[in-house]
Amino acid sequence: MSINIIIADDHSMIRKGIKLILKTIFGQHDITEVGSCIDLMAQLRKKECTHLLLDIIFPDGTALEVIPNIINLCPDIKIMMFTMQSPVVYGYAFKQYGINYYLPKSLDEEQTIEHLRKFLDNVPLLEGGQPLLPQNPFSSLSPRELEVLHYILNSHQTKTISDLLNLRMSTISTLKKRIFEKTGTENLTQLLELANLYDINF
Amino acid sequence: MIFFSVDETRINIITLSLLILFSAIAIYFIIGYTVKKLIVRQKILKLLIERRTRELQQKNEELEKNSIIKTRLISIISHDLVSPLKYIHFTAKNLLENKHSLDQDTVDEMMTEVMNSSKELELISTNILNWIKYQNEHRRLIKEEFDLNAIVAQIFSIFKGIAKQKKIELINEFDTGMILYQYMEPIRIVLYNLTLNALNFTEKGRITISGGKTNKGILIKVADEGIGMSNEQIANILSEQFIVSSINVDKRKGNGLGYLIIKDLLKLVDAKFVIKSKKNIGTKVTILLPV
Repeated sequence: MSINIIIADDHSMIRKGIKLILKTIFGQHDITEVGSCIDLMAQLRKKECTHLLLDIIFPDGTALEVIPNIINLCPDIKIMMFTMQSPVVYGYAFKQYGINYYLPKSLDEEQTIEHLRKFLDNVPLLEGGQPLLPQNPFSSLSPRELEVLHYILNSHQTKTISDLLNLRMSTISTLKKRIFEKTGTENLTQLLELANLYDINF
Repeated sequence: MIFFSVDETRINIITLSLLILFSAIAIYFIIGYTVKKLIVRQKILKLLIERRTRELQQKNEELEKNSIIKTRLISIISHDLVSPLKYIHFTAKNLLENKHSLDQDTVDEMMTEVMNSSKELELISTNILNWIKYQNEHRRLIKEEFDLNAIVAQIFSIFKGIAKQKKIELINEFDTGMILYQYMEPIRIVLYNLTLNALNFTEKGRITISGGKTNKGILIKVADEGIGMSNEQIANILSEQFIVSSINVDKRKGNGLGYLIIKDLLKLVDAKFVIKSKKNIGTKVTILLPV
């Protein structure tokens, strides 16, 4: 089966840069760019895709919210997370969805190319089984908690988060409480400081 | 004689008791007065403490808000500045190394992106600088004379390229010679941000800056024909708790930094502003500057 790639990222410069690397270094030409969750889902419904480069934070939501739908729609799709976020924080959550590829945007050109090569050649990056990554206060958050974390850091109220994620307010409150517990913080200011310390973007 | 003496004794007793009575009353009043004075002083102290506490709380809230904004700025800088810059570099390098093998369409596509992105990065950097510059509360502001028409023309020239690309017409309705004696820099930054917002949320049509002198002050209106805002969104912008956020109700790009700056600076120059908007018809922001 021929390779056909979607680059999902809200920054067009980053999409173009990766697209050019895929073209010049890997000779790939079937590449589609999308900039939001809605466009990504629409594109996946329109045309099958073998490889997906997926950012985490979009203007209309986070990857965590759409990954179950993507896997439902295209069970064979190969996904590589492509993000500023640290794999230490998000790696485990994505592994739960069977995603073993992670391309941090902070990598230099050579490393970026190396990661893309492994992704296209089906060489696993994140080893299965034992975690090879160090831990940080955010590592133990579940995918749901990470979703909520993103909105809390953006100073959204419980009501808004419950509307955005289609979850009950009581569920959001419980998730919030657990996030504060797991990270050992007491309020938003402390959580923000900790997020900053561990380079969590939101 | 006896009578007299009895009488004298009685008078003495009466005088004495009167004296005691008066002293008692006097002491009563003195104590009462002192106690009252003490109570009043205590009340004043209590009020003072309350006021100081309130001031401290307010300062604390401000500091907290500022620290949230700073954290947010760090996020904006790393997400919206550092990685796009890195990819501009990757792309330029890649183009240079492969200039002989790449087709013209790809080269054009990439160069257009580099051109647009670098412009966008310049605009974001300018705004971050704008915000930082006015964070120092003791910063001295100087009023100066300037021509509104020239200021608007200068702002429009920054956005000329973007407007042309999006086929948006920029209209400056101020006549030359519309001289103001005002804080020029804050007003320029506010108009810059209002124009930037209008451009970001307009697909086609016109962006007009107009206004004039009234007896209440100087009116400046920035109107677009863009996607508009709901009342809820406007209320959110106007609320004291408004905090820059990467997710916007409209699922449109924007980091909220613009309105944060606009609100801060208009407060600084003692101006009022009103936002009127209709979904899919446009937004009009009116500013009233005091004379």
